[in-house]
Amino acid sequence: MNKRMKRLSLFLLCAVLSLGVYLYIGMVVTPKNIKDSGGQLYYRGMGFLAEPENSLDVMVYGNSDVYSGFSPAVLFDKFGFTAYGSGRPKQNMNNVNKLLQQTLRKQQPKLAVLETDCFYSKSGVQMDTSNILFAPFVYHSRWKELKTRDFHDFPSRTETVDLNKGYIPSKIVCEAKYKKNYMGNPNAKPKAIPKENEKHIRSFIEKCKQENIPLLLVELPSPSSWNYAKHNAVKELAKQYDVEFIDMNIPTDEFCVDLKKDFRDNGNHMNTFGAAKSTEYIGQYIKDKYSHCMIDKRGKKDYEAWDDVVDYYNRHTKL
Amino acid sequence: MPYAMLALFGVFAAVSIPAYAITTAKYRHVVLLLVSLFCIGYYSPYGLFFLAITVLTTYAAGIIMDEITKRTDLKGLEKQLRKQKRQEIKRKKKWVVFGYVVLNIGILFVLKYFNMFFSFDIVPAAMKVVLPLGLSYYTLQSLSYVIDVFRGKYEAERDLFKLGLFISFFPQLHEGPFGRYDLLMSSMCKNEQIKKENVFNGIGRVLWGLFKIFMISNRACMISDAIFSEYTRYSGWVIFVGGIAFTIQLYAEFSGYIDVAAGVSKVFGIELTRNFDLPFLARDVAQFWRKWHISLGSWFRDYIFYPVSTAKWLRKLTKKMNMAFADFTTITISLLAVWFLTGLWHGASIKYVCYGLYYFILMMVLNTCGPLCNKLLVKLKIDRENKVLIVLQMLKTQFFVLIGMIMFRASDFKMFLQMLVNLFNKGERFSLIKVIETPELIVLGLSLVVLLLSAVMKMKKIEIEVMFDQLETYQKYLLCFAAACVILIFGAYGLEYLPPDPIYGGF
Repeated sequence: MNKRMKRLSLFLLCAVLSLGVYLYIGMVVTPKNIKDSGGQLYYRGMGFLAEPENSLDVMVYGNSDVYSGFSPAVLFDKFGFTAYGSGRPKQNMNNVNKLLQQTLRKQQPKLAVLETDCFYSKSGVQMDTSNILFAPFVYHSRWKELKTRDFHDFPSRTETVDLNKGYIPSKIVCEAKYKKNYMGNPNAKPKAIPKENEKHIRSFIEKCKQENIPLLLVELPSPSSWNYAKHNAVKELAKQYDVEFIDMNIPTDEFCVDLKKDFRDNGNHMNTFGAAKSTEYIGQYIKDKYSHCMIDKRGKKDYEAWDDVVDYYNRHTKL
Repeated sequence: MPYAMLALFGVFAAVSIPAYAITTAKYRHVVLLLVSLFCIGYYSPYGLFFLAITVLTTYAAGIIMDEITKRTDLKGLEKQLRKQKRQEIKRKKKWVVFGYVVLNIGILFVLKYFNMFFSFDIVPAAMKVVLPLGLSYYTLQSLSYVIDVFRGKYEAERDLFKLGLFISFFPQLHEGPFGRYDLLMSSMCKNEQIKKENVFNGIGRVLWGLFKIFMISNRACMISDAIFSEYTRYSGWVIFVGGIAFTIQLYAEFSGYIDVAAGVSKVFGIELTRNFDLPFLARDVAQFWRKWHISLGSWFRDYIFYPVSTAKWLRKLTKKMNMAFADFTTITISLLAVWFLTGLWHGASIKYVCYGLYYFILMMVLNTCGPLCNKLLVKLKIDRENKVLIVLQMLKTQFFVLIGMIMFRASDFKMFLQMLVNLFNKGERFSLIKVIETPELIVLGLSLVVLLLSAVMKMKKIEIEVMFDQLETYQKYLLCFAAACVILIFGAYGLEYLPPDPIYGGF
């Protein structure tokens, strides 16, 4: 019995020690600042947690199209609306729902914008890069840049302010080698949205309705992944749930994508030039349609920090 | 999916260990077989179809050959008649082997080589996406079984599940090693219960493999990729640095994957064939190939070299030649077959065929000049075991291996020739620090020191595994945990690291 107890204690000691060391490694390597390696990944899409309470007018959710094609600094500069682009690579609707839940703990946005490209993302469980249990695997490469603070500071998303507000600028210009009518046949049969995703979309819409947050569905220009089949499916869904939908892949008098200048990687993601154009268009649409709940916050004392955001954008990003 | 196989090994091992442990000894091999089939099916579902063909035909070929032998009663027959009957049996068995080889090598040829040989496609696009997991490994492994049964080395396996496991055992499907039925089956059939010491030993081996892959190979890859991708810019010693980096990368990656496979197998009490034995200490290229990818070398020796060198047609051909020339012709033709096929096994391109023929030429030179050199040493009264001589021989061998490695790494033969020409041209300045950050280089250097220390211990006959096995359980655990943490933190994977594809995984 004594021997067994000894073995059990040794086993427990080893297990606790291992868990402790593992969690500590996770804490040490997790980026403490958005500028650290992996900082973009850790804080990307979650930077709204560090924004002052109820300070955001517009929350934009989606995948990489959002952080490439929507610039909150431009929106504030041109229209005075505060926004955050909560986009993450290959984000699926399950995660978008989680982000909405997290947003509502601290923010009461006047408008939620949902980028529709992720309607067709693969559903299922994605590795949560914010989970401390995965941190040693995800951020271990930071061993080269560890500073003393990394060994005692806890990473905190509520303190790390993202001056780009979720936007990741790119000045690369790469012509999108697609035909002008890359959307194909306007009467294309709607491409079914995966059932699992549709369930999450419904849940997202219902949550917005429950919280009295108007919802706008937007498809940012993306010749490599978008077409009329998807457009028609989203249009049907928007009609079904009585939600506004704008597809920026369809040229209008106000907005027409420039395949030569607006993209950074052959029509998959927009560059700074394209993002500025598309944000202005979305801003104008919001101003026209949602003026009853939107206030221009430029020059207001409580929102002086946003002047720094615009200034930072102009200094570092503007072409 | 560079690390997909490692992850797959991990998941399937984690699932199979408890399933294996709770199953009665009689059916444990069935558990391993099911896990292996699931692993192959998960990787490429139609791979199961081709595997089933190989397993069933291997099983049938073995049984048929056994039956042919057993059903022929030789008792009471006259010597002449007995000889005739034996020849008849052999002829019948030969037809079975012939049919077997045509079918299975045919599958291998169509799936793996046809598209490489011919520009037009006959293999459906869906099949080209992912080749069945371990196709060439299990094809050659099952071929060795059929030939051994033909030779009467052992009786055919009557248990389809056991034979299926021998062919499809999941840890060795990715990069080998090739197992021999008699050796592998003896440990597979023990159906040993999971033992604590085997688990720790296996985990230790897996960690050692991961150490080689993530700490050494992936970092050496940064250097070799930088040089080989810009080969036109560099010359002279830079090409050699690229070759050395690639040699380290290949060795660490290949032996690392083998260690992972051996570690996972060890957990189930199964010993895989040893595939490396300090190859860089080889004194000549023949020795190098007896120490590098041992299972492939021995496969070609037993199933290509011996059959060709003892073939009737070759004996007829050399019959009228004088003894020395007959030997020379026999060895030349046998080696040519071995090295041509070794090159082809690596891939159906001129580069790989030339790679094989390069070693053929080296072997021939060695066979011809070796005795002369030995005579010269005797004349000069130089001891063959002289340490300086040994070091010089090792350096000479590694030089030739290095040239072979550059050919192996070059994307095609033209690139290899260009790199050889560049050796004597003046190229741009090369800075190691520009292609690999200083901290990464330090970690690579330290990891190589660890690898070197393990080699020195092996040379001094210090058995690290035995030392490890003698530790207390908690000591083993802490050692494994510490090693896992080191790989976890300092390993070159994930963010900021481009994952290289497993080199031998595609073969």
